[in-house]
Amino acid sequence: MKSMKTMSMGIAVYFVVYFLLAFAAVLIYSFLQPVPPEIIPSLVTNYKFNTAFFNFFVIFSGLQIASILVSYSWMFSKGFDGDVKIRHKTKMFAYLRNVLVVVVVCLMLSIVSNELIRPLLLNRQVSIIHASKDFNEFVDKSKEFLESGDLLEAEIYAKQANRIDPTAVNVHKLLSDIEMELSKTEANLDKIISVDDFKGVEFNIPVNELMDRARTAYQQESYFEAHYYGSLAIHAYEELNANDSEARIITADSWNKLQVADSSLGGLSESVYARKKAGYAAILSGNYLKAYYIFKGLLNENGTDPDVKRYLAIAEEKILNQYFFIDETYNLQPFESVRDIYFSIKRDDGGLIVVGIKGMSEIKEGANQIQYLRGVQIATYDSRRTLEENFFVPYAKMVTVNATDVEPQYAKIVEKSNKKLLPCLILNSVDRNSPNYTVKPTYYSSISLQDEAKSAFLLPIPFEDFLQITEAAQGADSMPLDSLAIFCSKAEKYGFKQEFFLQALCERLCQPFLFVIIALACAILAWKFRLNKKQLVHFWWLLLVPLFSVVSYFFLEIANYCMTMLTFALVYLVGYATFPIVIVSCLLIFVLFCFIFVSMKDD
Amino acid sequence: MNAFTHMIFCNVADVSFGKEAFVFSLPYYLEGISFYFPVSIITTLCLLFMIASRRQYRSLFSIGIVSFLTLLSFLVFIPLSFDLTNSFKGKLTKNNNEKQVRLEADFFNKNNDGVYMLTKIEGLYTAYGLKEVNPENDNMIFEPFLHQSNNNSQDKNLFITDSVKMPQFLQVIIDATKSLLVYAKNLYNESYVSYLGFASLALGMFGLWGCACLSSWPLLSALFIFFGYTCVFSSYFVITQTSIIQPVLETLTELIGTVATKPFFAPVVVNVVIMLFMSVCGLIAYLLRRKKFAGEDL
Repeated sequence: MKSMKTMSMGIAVYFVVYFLLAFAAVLIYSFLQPVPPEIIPSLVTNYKFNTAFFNFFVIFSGLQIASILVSYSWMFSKGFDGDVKIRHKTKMFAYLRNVLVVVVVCLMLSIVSNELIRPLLLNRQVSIIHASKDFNEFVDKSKEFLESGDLLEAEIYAKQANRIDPTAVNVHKLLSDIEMELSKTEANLDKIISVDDFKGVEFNIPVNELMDRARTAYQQESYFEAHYYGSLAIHAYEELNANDSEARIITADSWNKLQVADSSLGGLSESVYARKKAGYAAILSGNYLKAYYIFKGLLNENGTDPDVKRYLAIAEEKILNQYFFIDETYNLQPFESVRDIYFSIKRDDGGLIVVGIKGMSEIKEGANQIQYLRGVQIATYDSRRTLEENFFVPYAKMVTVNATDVEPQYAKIVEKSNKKLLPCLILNSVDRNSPNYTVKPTYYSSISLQDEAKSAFLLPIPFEDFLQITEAAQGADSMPLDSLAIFCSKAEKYGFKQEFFLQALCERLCQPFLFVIIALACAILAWKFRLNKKQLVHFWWLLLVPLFSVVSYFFLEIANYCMTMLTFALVYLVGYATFPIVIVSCLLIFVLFCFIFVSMKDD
Repeated sequence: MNAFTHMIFCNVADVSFGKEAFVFSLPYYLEGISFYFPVSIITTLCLLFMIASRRQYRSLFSIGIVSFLTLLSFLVFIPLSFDLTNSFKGKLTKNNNEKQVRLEADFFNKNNDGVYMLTKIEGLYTAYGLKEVNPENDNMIFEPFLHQSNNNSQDKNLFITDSVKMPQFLQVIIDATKSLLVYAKNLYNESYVSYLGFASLALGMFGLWGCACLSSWPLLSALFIFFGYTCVFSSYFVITQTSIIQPVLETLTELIGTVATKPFFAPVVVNVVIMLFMSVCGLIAYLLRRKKFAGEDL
């Protein structure tokens, strides 16, 4: 079987050389093609290389089919030159084995190309286009804000543009103009002290530890701290039904001491002390936002007071359940992973929630993934499909909530889910330094004013489903195969026609079978149209070989289109049974082609 | 099979309009037959040329058979298929407008204005819902709207049309083929003599023998036949469906008289030229090979 080894080697060499030449041709073609006008100069080369790779992988299957056709039509004529004694049937079986090995290798490469490389390159292409569009938008907005004198906004947009393209001269000039304007007004700006150096907020402290801390603070005449830990201890004792008399004594005594506005306590001026006390009272009453701004102001004036740092950190930790800071959303738009997401949720009471999201960015915060959603609109309908509420918010922060922490009806929603988490949208955002600037949803319709005051919206779907919806928003074709398979059964729950996803799934699963059949048909053609045994390959033929790839590419496109139509029709007719029907049909054709191949005569 | 594919295609198009579909549809099937029968005949002829070319110029018998079938197809089979289509006419006009457009609530759809969802349906053609506003709007994504349609609505669901989108090149080929067939059928309905202009394509196809002789590698010969076939029909399309050769025809009319204005004149001349050109090229390539390999048939 030396001839078979020579044949395999010849086929491999042909494939490698031909693919390299094809890539070079595609590279030249892609570089000669015009680039969309919105692509910024610094991303042009990146875009062209990405396009070249993408184009190459678009025609990859066509190249493989053409290579099988051409290489075998040459190699079949040389196959068993020396082994004249071998029976024809044995020869054909050996050829078939060789062809099947090559087809399987090609199939694996084709699957990797279609399922892995092409979606990656497509996402990259979309990211480059989005980044370019965002860059132009940020530069325009920055110029607008600079002209209108809103220097801070202008600086934010210019910095975002600079992050996308640090080499852009116009952005550097814009930043220096903003800096110059800012330096003129710098004297008016307050010095901002960060609270980042204090990370002392602790939760779930054991009750004994709370009592120890309260006692120690009381003895050190640190009455804010003594009252704070004493109150936490009372709360803990109430849950345990234990004796809390000592905690109550310390707390009451500390509170009485705090009522005396005595400058000897902590050595603060009377007005500062009063503000500190008001901030502390705000924490006790649950008005954490008010407390946050009071302590933030105190910290900016006197950055050394440990009480101020502690209660600022506590207030910040608490408000982050109801608000997020506006500056968290700066710089996010260029890095959005998905755009234009929309879905609906059917409620158990027959009502409907329709959700639209313009873009989503994912940020890693410790072990958790946080989603920031840009441009969120939510419309809810009752069971008679009357609009209940319809609101839009420029940014929302998504956090996950454990189903056990909310109303019991949510537990049912996540009963089949592993993580039992629900997505919750925090709708209100606040400025880190000023209480005068907050962003809240705009209501186009609502049931009551009380309803409009809510700070969060809990989506009644498992968090995993939300992530799958974001993948589906990019199109069924670009969804990972496993997500697509799972999402098929859920599509209708979220406002999508199941048939689209089922058809996309069937088409993608059947494509490898189609490829094998076409490749096998090409091997049959290669035998029928093989070269004469005495004939040598002419050099000028090599120049015409790319034409086979062109024809193969168009032929594959037509075959894929027919497959799409067929699966679409079958999905509408028989639903999930489409897949076995197509697979069985493909297998029958495969067996038939194998039979035809081994039956071919040496004419 | 082609007619069956056509029926599926029409049903998918119906679904995109929101109509019921996917039951066997005789009008669509007959429409498919009337369109694809001549196409199938002509494509089969091209494949026959390829199969016969495997033995190249060695078998005069195969040349004779394929040439005879080509003539028979253009002079008899295709005209017969036109007669058959004319007899289908009554059934074809009974189109699928009887199918009801169904409005569906709670599903996202997409039309030329963007994404929309119907949330409440009232009656057959009226519904309320949410539709996408201009993406430039920074304060809104959807707005409530009133949807009104009728059974002849041309409002396609772009989610469906996008997912079964025909490749552009195939659309171009199908459109060109359709216009050629309509043109040929009109010629045939006019008179058989006018139809002979279309039948002159058979002459062009005889030139494919020349293509078969261009190379001693059978696969390359088959490729040349395919390109020759494309060339024959493309040139016929250009001279009958565009006005590119109009100035040439006007000059010829001045030189040889009104015969140049007859509908069969230009196709016949062009097809004869193509046949001669391909045959001469093939003959030269064949003779050169024979000379190079000292008479061996390579």
